[in-house]
Amino acid sequence: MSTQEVISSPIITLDDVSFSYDMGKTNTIKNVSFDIPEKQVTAFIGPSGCGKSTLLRCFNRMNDLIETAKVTSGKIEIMGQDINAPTVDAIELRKQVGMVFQKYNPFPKSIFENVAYGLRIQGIKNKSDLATAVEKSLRGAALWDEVKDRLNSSALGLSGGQQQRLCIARTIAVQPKVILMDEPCSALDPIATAKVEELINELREQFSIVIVTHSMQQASRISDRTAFFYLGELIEYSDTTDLFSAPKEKRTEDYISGRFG
Amino acid sequence: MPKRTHILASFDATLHKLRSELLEMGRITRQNVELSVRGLLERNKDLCNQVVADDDVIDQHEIAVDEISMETLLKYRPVASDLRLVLSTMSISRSMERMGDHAVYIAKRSRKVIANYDLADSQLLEPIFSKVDSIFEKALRSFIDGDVDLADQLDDDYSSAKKDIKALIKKFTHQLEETSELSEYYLHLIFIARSLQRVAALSVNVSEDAIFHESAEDIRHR
Repeated sequence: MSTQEVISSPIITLDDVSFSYDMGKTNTIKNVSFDIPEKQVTAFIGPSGCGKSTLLRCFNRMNDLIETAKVTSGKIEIMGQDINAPTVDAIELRKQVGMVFQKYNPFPKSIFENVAYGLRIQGIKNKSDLATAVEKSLRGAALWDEVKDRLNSSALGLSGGQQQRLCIARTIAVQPKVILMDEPCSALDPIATAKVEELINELREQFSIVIVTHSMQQASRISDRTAFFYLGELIEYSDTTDLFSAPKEKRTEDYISGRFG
Repeated sequence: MPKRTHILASFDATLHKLRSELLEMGRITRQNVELSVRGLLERNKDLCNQVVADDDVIDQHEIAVDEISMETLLKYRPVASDLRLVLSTMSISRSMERMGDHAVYIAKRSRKVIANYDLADSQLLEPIFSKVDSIFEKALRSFIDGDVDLADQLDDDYSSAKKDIKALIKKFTHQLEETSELSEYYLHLIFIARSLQRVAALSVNVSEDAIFHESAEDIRHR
């Protein structure tokens, strides 16, 4: 990988991380080391199967749900804590590391209850506290003005873009430190995509965001730093403008300029 | 190492069209500068007229470069070296268009000189022109071949040409002061020398764009 600069305040640190889906027979992620900065947007790009979503799911241990999957070497630290240490509870970790998925997935509940769900699990029962937190989250997700008059309506009645922003509101309601986004706009039209991108721009002030995207334009528009992966390896990681204007690695240049294949 | 082709063949075809357009613009612009000076040195009014007429061709190439660049940006969203090619091509085309304008200034002044004077001092511009033309040619070649080393040399070449032009302008100014009846003649020669200096300076801009395209390094104003 090309030489990377030192990140002064990383929120996530990867040190020689390898990951396997088959108990270590083959590594899907291979010896990856880099730092992800706090309160910035970091984009993961690369062809299908390069390991970018797999790595993203390592950050909140979503891969724990697959029996044969495991980090085979190295260490992932979030806020200085080894997230795979035996003492770390995955559920607790996911309160700090929220996730937004490719396909928006609101619960079949009201708009209000979708956002309040995580808060209730955290033990918040006071109606006034819940209402305040729900409004704050919906405002934070730039959805409040569109739904404030129908908070008790089913979330499934919202448009696709609104449902995705509701999922973001649900994620930020519990005030995580990190938000992982796995192709959050791939099922949205250009207008809804623009709204989500604008939202990401606003959220970067409060949260550290890591986004997987297949859209080069999206990565270049919204991210501060970009990591390019290929066949499980981190090929290049740098400032987004630098990576898209003057990549150091030929494989990066070939991929981002459409010379791969 | 040669670059791989794009998956989209039409992207390669469009970039090829863009380069071809610029190279043709460069060929005509260089030719126009040459003809404007030859018109003076050979006392050939037809060459001067041709330069003025062909300026429209240069302008049309500039418009074509802009159109193809716009098409490339819109359709293919180029990044990395492809984006730098589009940006540097547009910048070079601006420089060429201005060089073409200087060729016209030279041609128009040359026509006036030919019509009113037949003096040997006009020939003093020939060595200056040779240096300027060499800078222009090297700048174009550095872009075509992606030759950063060649582009890097042009600063020194320009300094040398500028020194010669300055000395010549000093000489013409002295003559102008000494022979007031020839003041218009020497004024024309001074302006022609200045136009040639601008052509050399714009060629250096072209070489800077060549460096930007090839190495992503922006060396302007350093």
